[in-house]
Amino acid sequence: MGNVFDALYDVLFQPKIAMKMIAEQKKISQAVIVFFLSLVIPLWALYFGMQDVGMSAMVPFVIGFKIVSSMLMWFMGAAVWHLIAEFLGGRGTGVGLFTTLGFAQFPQVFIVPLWVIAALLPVSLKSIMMAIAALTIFSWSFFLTITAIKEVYEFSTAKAMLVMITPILVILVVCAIAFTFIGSAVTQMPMWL
Amino acid sequence: MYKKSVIIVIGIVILLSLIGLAFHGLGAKNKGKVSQSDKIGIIYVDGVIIGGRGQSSVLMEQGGTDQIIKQIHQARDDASVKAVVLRVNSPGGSAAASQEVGEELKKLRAQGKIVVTSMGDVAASGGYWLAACTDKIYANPTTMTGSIGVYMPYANWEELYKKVGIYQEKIKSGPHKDILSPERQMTDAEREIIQVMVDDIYNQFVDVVAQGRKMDKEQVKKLADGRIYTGNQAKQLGLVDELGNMYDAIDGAGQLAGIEGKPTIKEFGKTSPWNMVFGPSEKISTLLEQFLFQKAANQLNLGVPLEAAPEKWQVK
Repeated sequence: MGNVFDALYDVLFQPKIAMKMIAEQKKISQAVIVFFLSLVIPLWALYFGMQDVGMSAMVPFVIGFKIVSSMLMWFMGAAVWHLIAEFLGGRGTGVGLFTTLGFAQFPQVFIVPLWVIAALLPVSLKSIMMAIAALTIFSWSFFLTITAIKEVYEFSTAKAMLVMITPILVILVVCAIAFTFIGSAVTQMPMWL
Repeated sequence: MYKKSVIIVIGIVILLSLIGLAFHGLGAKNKGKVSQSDKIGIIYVDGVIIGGRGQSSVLMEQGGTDQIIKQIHQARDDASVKAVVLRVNSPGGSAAASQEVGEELKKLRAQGKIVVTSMGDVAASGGYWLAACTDKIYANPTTMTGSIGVYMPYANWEELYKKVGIYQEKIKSGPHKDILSPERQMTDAEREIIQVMVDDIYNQFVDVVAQGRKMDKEQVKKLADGRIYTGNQAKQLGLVDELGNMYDAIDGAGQLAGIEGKPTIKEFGKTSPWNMVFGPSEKISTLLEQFLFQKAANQLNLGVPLEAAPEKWQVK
């Protein structure tokens, strides 16, 4: 896997081998380029999609939110998942995971041609096609993320999924506890009407 | 080499898709519209007309005539905006703030843009001042308008303060420095000073109406005794041009600007998502005011009306 073209091809067609190689070689600069391409290209589609449905006022907010949240998810996701993977006995490196996660976003660029196809379809099929396209891309990226965790830490699929969903489970538990306390506090407060 | 070719083909497909999407997006934007260069801007004047920046927060400002003037400047600088509809729903406000906005509307007209007023529930006093500065006025038959006049509120709490045991002493640089103070009777000389000022502002108001409505000044003075009129009455008296709602006003503005077909609307000062998240919340501030007022009323319980605080000049 000499250059970024080979890496991208392998990510699409031989993800298992690709993720293992990327984690070993740790080519961060390539991962950064792929990540930003995978972020900017779908944003282009999003921009025109929002203009089309008359949501121009929301464009800066949504695009700004998408950029910031994607970058935070990449950095913080890699950090948190690496910590959990180490707790579960994984032997990979944080930089390896960070690099593979950058490449795992690559399928998102396919949202653009898929939305163009959807735009050419009759109105009745347009929204269904767009939903199917979005779901397919999300599933593909999800699969690549699981593969990345598996290959970086030499985990089974079940263990890799556990690493991935643990932060979500923790957030849900914390929210449930917080809401329980806030709920009991609110019922104690005097009402000002 | 094979892998590189596959990725390059994918890249070309994505690039072509991006270009296609851009053209599709632009096509959809233009669909059913006359032209991107023919727009009618809408500027809203809601509530009491007060100068300044209004409510401000970390990222946003809203309310206050500074925002309205900013929107007028945006409409002036936007070449695609051929006409502006001023949607007025205001009982009036400060004379200076009304005058400031009125002058900006005149400058906007001088730039070649058509400005049409659409009156909502109320467009009285300062609200009518603004309307008088526009090319054409639309009102609903039941709109409350008119109220052309000026008043300066003054309250004398001297007797009450004596009963409560409050005595305020002032060291003044001149005899009229504490004019309109609520803790003493106004002198005849001060009353004369204030009356002259009120008359001066009233004459300026009458001039604006006479000039804007192309009416004789004496004729305006007959109508400008401070009374309010319905939109229907105002139309008969020549204070309003047409009876109709905002959409009639938009159509009228389009005709005056020579826009053919359905005009494209551009709303100025529209609430953005940033405003929704970080902007000042009217509901929250109202609730806070109610809460603080309730607290103050409960804790102080002095019996002194809060209205004893000095009030600003108001147009009525």
